[in-house]
Amino acid sequence: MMPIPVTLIAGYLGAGKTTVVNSLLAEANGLRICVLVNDFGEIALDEDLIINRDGDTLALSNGCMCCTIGNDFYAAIDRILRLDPRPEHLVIETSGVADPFKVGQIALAEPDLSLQGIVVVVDAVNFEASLADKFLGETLKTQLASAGMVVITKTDLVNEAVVETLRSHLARLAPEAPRLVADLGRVPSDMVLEPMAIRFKRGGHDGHDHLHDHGAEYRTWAWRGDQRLKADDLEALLRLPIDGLYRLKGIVQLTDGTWRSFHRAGAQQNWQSVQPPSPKRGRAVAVGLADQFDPVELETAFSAILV
Amino acid sequence: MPNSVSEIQGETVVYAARRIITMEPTQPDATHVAVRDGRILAVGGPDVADAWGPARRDDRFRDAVILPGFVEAHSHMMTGALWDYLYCGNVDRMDPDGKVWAGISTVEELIDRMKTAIEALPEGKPLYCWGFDPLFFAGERLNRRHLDQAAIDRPIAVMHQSFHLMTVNSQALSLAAYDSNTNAEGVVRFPDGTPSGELQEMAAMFPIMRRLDVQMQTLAQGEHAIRQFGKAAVQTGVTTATDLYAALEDAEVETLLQVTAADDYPLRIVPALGVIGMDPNVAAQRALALRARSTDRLRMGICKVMTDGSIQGFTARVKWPGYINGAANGLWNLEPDRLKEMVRVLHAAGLNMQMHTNGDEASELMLDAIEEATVLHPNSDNRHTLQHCQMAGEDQFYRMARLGVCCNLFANHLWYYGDAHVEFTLGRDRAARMNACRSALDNGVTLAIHSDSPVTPMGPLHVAWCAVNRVTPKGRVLGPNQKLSVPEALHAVTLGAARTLKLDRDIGSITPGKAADFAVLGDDPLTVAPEALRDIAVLGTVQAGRVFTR
Repeated sequence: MMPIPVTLIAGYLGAGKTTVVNSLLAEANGLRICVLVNDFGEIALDEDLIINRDGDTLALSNGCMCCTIGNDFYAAIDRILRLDPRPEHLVIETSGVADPFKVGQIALAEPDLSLQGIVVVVDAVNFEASLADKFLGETLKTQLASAGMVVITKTDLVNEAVVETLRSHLARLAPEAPRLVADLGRVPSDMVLEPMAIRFKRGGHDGHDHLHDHGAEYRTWAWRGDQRLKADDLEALLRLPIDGLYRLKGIVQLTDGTWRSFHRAGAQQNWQSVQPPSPKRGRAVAVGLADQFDPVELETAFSAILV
Repeated sequence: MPNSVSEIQGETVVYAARRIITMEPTQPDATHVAVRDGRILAVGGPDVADAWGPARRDDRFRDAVILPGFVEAHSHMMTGALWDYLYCGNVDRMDPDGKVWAGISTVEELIDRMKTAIEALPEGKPLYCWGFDPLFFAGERLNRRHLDQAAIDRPIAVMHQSFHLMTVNSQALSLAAYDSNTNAEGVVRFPDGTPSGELQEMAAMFPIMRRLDVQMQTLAQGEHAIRQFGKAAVQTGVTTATDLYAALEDAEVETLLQVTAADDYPLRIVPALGVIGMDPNVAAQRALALRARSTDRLRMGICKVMTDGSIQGFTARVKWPGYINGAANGLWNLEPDRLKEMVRVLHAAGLNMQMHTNGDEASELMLDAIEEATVLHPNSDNRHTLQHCQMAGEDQFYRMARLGVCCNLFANHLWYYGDAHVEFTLGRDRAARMNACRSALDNGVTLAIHSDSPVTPMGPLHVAWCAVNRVTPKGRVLGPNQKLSVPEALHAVTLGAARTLKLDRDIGSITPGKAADFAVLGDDPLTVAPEALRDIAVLGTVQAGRVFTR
């Protein structure tokens, strides 16, 4: 049996971890994700999405599920490993004071789990105060030192100077982690769940699988819709010069009724005919370097070819 | 079960003793105590019960010394059933049946003990051991090669005394597919890169425990665990003991009610509802509902709040200047803001909280939280208790007194970990003020002292001995100015402990009206040398008038 990939979502109280988790559940795209959280309280799920509620478990209509940790984290892990069928991805929302490096050890030790990455969420509004808090500051630094990726939330609520200060802190505290600015709290699930650099030792730099430039900062763009596209327009879009675009991928329905998946990474593009997704809804996501990529520019270009 | 003598309804029994130490200032000493219906009727001399009509004289304790039954205000249910596993510690330790297991300190002794135990096990069945402490073990660090000498055809798992480490044999390692490619930091390696068999922290231990079906929870739940806990208490003179972090789910509460109601059950259990991971309002409602279901022998309603980890594990939250080896500060169990919210809600509900705080930053946070909660909800006399509270300074003890907060200090740590604290964690100066019992009393703080059994062995006389002598195995005296007198230490394992649990109206001293709970000792703690306090034999207990002899 393949081990279940595990992604940790860490960050202090109020940083926006739950927003990220909600967005992963909403955009699971058929992936059967199991989310392990401290409590259901803040998980803002559409009531229609919940098909069963059984004590510490919520089953969702898209195949995902949510479990609470309760007072024994390991017992919760054990319950998940006994599920049949097993989830395809395990997302653990750690407590605001958890050391994700330590929490992640279970996914390195347990042969039925495999650690994909540690995502640390920080928010532009409270970061500075949390860092200065005598009870919290050090915890926050420890979290960032383990980050395979940093997701920044709430940048729309502060001015650019605050974001600049945050950036300089992150450059110092998590110099190797790519940063993702989650505009309006949305994060592309593929990017958050994909394998990222894992630090196996404290302070060590023996990570593998470096998919990103160290310390690079990204912005994202996402689309979901029922409109169709012409094949030629799609191919043109995949070749269109877009400053700072790092990756663009998705699945759309063409005007002839067939479905096509597409993927653009750097100068590489490919697309192929595929079976219709379930649900039958088009989607696309893009990630680009924050200082060059303008999501609005892509949004304009993409909207223009929707039929 | 120790032989128990049920009393007859309405009968007055007068026990004579060599000495009765009451913990009551009005009458600190007596020779006779009259008991009726499980309660103390009268205390005094041979004529103690004359005013109360006919009485039966019982002289079985004539040569013994009677104290109030000991109150272990920080222990865990697992204490008893842990003995289902093979004891492999370095100190002599008594099992719930009173059998003393000699300490072992060499590989040869360990392997011999394991082989003997394996002979009684069905083929292929794993061998579980506990109590092992590498600090006191001679020679090379215990590893799989040693354990393979005991068995290669069945898994062996040795839980260390700290419960944070485990050493397993090759067969157990292979169950979890641990090999040179395993990246978890807790899987310790030999120089050749292969796992040594030592596993550090739960993440590394858990894959083995799952596959061996070791569930620590089952050691802390169910009739067997509850009965064994009761037996362990009798061996050490304890008549009231906490289970200081309990899930208390409905089925388990039923079992607790049923088992403790048995006529021969020798212990009053005080389980504390573990609230970490619960919504504060749900936790408060649950604790209040449990409190309403309490019986004399099952006192529910107190809550346990966890804040930080342990000092020797470098997970306690410690104020500047931190750990002497430069280790990073420890871990909070829950966000400080959430901890404060929990404290506020439970305090407002009038509930008593027992707060695990090892480091001085943790005790500071809880004092802040209590102070804030008190401003909003000026309840008096909640008796929130800082548990362990090992590093509190004068400022914090003074503040506890002002806030009406009690402390339950981990005096046993001075002996079991004192040298380690001097050498590895805090250094000589701060180790000297650890578990500062004198400061607690001098500042007017209600004081209990504890074993945290099974972390260290249950045994109030040993705990009191630690608080009185403050010596370490290497002969250091940690903070001689913090020593307690023997009467003060005995108070801390009886009435002081009862007060921290808000049970002092019923137990903790020998005075008319309170439960007839006695610790029966073979010698007089007030006349033996203070250094010999821990060597006094415990002959048994009387619990609510029922006699339990060892």
